[in-house]
Amino acid sequence: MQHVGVQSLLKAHIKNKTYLGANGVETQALKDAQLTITENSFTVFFGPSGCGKSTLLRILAGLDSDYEGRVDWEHPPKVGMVFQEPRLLPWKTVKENILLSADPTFSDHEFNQLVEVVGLTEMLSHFPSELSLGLSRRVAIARAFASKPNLLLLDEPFVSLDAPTAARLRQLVRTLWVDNPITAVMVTHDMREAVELGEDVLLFTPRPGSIHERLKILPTDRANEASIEAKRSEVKSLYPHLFEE
Amino acid sequence: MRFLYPVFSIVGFLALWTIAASIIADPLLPGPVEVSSAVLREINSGALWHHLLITLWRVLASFIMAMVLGIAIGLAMGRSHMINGLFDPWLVFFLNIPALVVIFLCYIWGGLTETAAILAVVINKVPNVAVMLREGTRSLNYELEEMGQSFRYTRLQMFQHIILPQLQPFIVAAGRSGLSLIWKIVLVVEFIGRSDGVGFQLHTYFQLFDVAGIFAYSLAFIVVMLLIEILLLQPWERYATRWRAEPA
Repeated sequence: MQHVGVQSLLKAHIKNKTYLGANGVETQALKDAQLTITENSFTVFFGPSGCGKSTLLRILAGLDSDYEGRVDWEHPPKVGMVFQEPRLLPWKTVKENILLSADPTFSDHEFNQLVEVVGLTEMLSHFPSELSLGLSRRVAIARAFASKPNLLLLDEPFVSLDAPTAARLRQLVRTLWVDNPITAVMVTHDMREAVELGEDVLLFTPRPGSIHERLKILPTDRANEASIEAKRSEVKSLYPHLFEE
Repeated sequence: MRFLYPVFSIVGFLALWTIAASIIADPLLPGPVEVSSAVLREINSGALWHHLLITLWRVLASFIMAMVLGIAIGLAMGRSHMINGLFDPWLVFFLNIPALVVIFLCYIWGGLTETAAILAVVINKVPNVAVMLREGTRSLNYELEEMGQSFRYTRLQMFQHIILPQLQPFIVAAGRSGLSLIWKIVLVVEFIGRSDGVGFQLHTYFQLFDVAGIFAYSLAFIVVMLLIEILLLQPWERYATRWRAEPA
């Protein structure tokens, strides 16, 4: 999906972000991280664990305001977030979990359509404790889309799933996003995920994190398994120190 | 078969009681028959309902006030180190004041009034509720609150849908232990400074050494509290925890 008349949703410059570890030692998570996120683009933060990519995502989500620097918004963000853990409310059914975060304009028709696409139609009256991790993640993804965000934030949303489930969920996010392109930012340390979903991939340096490089992923790169794998190997050979495996 | 054990136990007790009462043959140990007829006498005269309802009202009023205050204080203490630091010595202090002292002081300063009576019960109960709710608040899941924050939940949504459901087990526990404590204190309060209620009736029969009367009122009140437990508190607890996975 190519965008004409590209406009930025936000520009951020985080000069310094430190946090106090459990052992009382101060760690610098981000240093001079600068980025621009284009509207309706799918951006991926890629880097080894502990490089501050999740920290930056939390800053964009408004969950962390204790940093030096600034984030300038083109218009106020309306965040829909998918966390590493599903973070569903255990005392609410699947339906209630989705609707509680839904936008006021979210209609019954849209709801039915969304749960159909996500594959939750049969599960609406279940409680989260009755769901597998894969299904819980689907609910979390549906919840984020139901909130009609102008900024969708995904923090390693496919981590600790078995490979086929993860593949199906990536496909699902891809479908939802293509149907309804919104500005999306996803954190991952899996280059395969980055190529499959991202348009802009921002490579983070190891801690203290800053943005090292911006890669463009083309539709031809994610055309099929072979092209995805080719792109992944190419990036890995260029930046081996950013890969964990 | 297992459900019969409590029945055996109760029937056995009643039999032993009847035998003991008939051997001793003294009005100071009335048997089940004498106690039942005392209950019937009080029911027919209307006295039982009158005093029972007044006591129930006092239990309910002080229960609600103690729960609301205790929940508010416990929440504030669990959330803020400053408030916890300020209140903690007083919490320990009030937890350890004898109930009787609180009742005396309330009556001395407030007069033998309804307000003083209820206040005495509330002061006795609030610290327990606050301690339990403080623990509950400290165990709140931070991740769920963050989720609500990222979706820009309002303060009301946050409280209603994220915080309150997590506190519910603590509130139920505080409520159940609270009810049994409160009704015992209410009886003492009535015993000392009220002219109606079950506690007052017990006082009267105590002075008359009428043990059958004492048993009659105690039994009636225990039955009412059991009904409240079975018909209100247990269904409430089941409802509040219905989302938990069935234990395997």
